[in-house]
Amino acid sequence: MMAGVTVVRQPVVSLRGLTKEYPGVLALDGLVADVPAGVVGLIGANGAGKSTLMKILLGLIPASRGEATVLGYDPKTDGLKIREMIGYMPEHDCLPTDMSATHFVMHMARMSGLPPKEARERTAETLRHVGLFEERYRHIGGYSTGMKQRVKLAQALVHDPKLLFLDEPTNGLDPNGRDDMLGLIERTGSQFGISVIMSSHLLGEIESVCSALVVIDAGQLVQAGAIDDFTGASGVLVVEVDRDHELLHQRLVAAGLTAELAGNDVVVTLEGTEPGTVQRTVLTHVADLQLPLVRVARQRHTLTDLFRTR
Amino acid sequence: MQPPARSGEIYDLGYRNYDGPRLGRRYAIRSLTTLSLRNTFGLGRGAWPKVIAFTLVGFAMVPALVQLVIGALQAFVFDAGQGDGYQFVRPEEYYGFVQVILVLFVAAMASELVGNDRKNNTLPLYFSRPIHRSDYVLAKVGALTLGLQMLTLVPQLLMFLGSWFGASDQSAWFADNIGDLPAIVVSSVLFSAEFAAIAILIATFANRRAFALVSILGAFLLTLMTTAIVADLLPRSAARVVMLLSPIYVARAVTFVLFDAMPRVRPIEFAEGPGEQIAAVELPGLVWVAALLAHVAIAVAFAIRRYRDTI
Repeated sequence: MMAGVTVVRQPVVSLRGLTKEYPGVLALDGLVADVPAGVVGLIGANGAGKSTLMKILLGLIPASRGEATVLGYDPKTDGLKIREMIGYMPEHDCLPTDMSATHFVMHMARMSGLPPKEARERTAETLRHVGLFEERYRHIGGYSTGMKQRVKLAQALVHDPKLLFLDEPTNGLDPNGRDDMLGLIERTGSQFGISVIMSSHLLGEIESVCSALVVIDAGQLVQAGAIDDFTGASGVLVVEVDRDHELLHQRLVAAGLTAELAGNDVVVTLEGTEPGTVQRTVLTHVADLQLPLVRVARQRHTLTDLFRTR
Repeated sequence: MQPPARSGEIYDLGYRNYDGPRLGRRYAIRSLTTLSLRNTFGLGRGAWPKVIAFTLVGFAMVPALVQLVIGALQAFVFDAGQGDGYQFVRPEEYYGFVQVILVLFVAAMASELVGNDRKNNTLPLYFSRPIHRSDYVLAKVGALTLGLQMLTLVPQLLMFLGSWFGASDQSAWFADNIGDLPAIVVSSVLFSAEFAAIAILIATFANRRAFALVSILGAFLLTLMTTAIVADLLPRSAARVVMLLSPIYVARAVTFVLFDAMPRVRPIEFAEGPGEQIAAVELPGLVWVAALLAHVAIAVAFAIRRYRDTI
């Protein structure tokens, strides 16, 4: 993660009333948002308009109304310029079966404008990055889903884009493959200096790699902002001890804190208090009672909570 | 730092950013054309496309090889002057020989060029790169047109060389026949473009290879046969229209125009074969050329339109 570094940058994508109408369907309905640099999650249920939005931003389909800019360019008029600087990994299978990964990724590098020698070199490097080694000379038709996803990512990365669009990048992967892919995406954003806009309907994976979110539902913007705004610390401190939690609860209430029992946990309300002071008070009492402390933690919202309450 | 890599995990050896040149759209189109040209001959594909492509190229080369053998015999075996200037196939007649081979070639190969990208869903990857959709279509039609030169231009150049070497007075023969060269080049390009554009258009609509193959064969051969039958039965004005719609008739007529070798005109009811039928309707040469260019333009335009609605 980009811990401790706060760089104010231009938004990589900005949307102003972006609308896409198909006959009888309003796919995007007046989206307004600024998407910051970094790894940004684009969340919505299936059919919420994620793929439509990506295609408009790539200049692949025109918007019906409204404006958008990608890296400062307008997809309507500067599609070529934008497509030179972005990488796109579609959701579905998109690879030829009868070419090797090396041959295909090199071809795609050249399609992005890399001269032959550079295309060859970067193909080898990029395939190594995504974790394809000796298999890269075999026909893609014989690859596992995980290997295909890596090739899809490699073709999006090979020309060193400034911005990557990843549409459901973990689709069809097993848990190990998913972790690898997410790790790779996170490093792409943090170490390679490439901004990523990643769509997913799995909140857990978005939460683990994204620094900001854009949430859309039925073509409308629900919320956009830093991930901490969504998963910010909630107003409670959870204290878990191995025994005598009733006793601890009584002590804390006696000490003037608002606390309640929740199973084996004591949940202390932080609102209107200074969290540090509360934590010190709690620890003092735990030590006083010589209780075996399991954890004291600020409970965080999860994205799942967010959607559950919606 | 990184934990030790599990098997199959990503080894991070450091990512390098790329600051080098990006050669842009024209280069991308050229790259796509090059790859497609290779695919036209089944290179980089399985064994079957190669076998089919090179077998058909081999058939197309037969007249050229015969002419080369004749030329060698004339030059080294026969007495001077014997059989001098004999041309096994006149350039304008060559297309009558090769037209069916060309139909088979484009029928077999057009779906290699556009069908695979549709079937494998690769188009989003192309269209998210710095090219226009029309560039994709033009690269494909261009690649097939270029590939067809192996069945049109190359054999004709070999025949030209064969006749030249066989001539007893080579400089005189060359002076007499050099005028054919521009016609050989232009007719090869136009004939091939007509076949390529129409075949690619049909292949963009046919997702299955077998369907593409049958449709392309049908489009060329059925129009050829029906035109041959119907043209004899219709009044000349109607026969003209039918012929102007038939790809092979138009392509053949253009070669007659370019080589200035329109067959002898006979009334259409006595005309035998496309050559004489074409001559019988007595259309100005420019009309045939315009018809061919219109066929190509319309086919390319519809193919581009077909891609406008994709993804």
